Amino acid sequence: MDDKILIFQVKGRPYRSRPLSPESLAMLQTVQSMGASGMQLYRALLKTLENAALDPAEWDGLIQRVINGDVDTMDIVDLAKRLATKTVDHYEATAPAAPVDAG
Amino acid sequence: MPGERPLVSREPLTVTVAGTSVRIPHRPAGLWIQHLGRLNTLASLLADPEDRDRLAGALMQTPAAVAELRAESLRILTEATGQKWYAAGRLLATSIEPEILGRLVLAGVDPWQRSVGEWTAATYALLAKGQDEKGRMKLDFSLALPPPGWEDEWDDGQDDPAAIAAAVQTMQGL
Repeated sequence: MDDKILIFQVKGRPYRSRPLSPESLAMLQTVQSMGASGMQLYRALLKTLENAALDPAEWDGLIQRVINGDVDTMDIVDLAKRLATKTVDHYEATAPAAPVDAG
Repeated sequence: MPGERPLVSREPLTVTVAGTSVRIPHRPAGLWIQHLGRLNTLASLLADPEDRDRLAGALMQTPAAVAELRAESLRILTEATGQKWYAAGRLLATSIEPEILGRLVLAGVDPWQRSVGEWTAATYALLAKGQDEKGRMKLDFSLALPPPGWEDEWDDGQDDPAAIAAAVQTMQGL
């Protein structure tokens, strides 16, 4: 499993996550492009974030902040976008270098 | 060129992703063309909104089924047009080039009235019109060539080696 930890600020508090798995990333990108409703896309974001959460208690705390109204829907959408971007950056940075063509 | 499904068919198509089946109602060629840039999710884009959400829900439960959605999307394009999906995609892309689209429209072929099978057949007929045997073979070859990564599609186990050898000889003379 990837041991990289990504840290984000969500309305003034840190939130830690693992990078998204390639499978989750592909699922998220697909749901975004398949014409699903905004609600279904939001569910996909939540599911993806939950699966990548580093600490279930921290995830529960974030959801509690949503319930309390301290964090809103757009903050979650923004967090998912930042997580997807950082995940792609992480995979690009750790990808093995392409072999040099000596020919 | 025709497959098992009549090109004039208005019957729904069924797709199954991660065990979730949805029926895609008849959609005019115009809608297929609109979604040409998103072939991997075509099946969902053509489905009714509630079925799109059902498919999205299935993917959330089984993320690996992204590949199934892609495969089903390409399958229905093949099924509805009687062509390999990439040949159909090329015909659809060609059909909206201004000169080709103009000729089709002047001929009275309306993409919002015709099935995608009829539309691709009309496009093919327009492209093949006036071509001699070599020109037609060149057209067929350009449509049938699998895109990068899909070379295995080239061998469907149904080709006659002698016919292929003859075709290659003819192509070399083009």
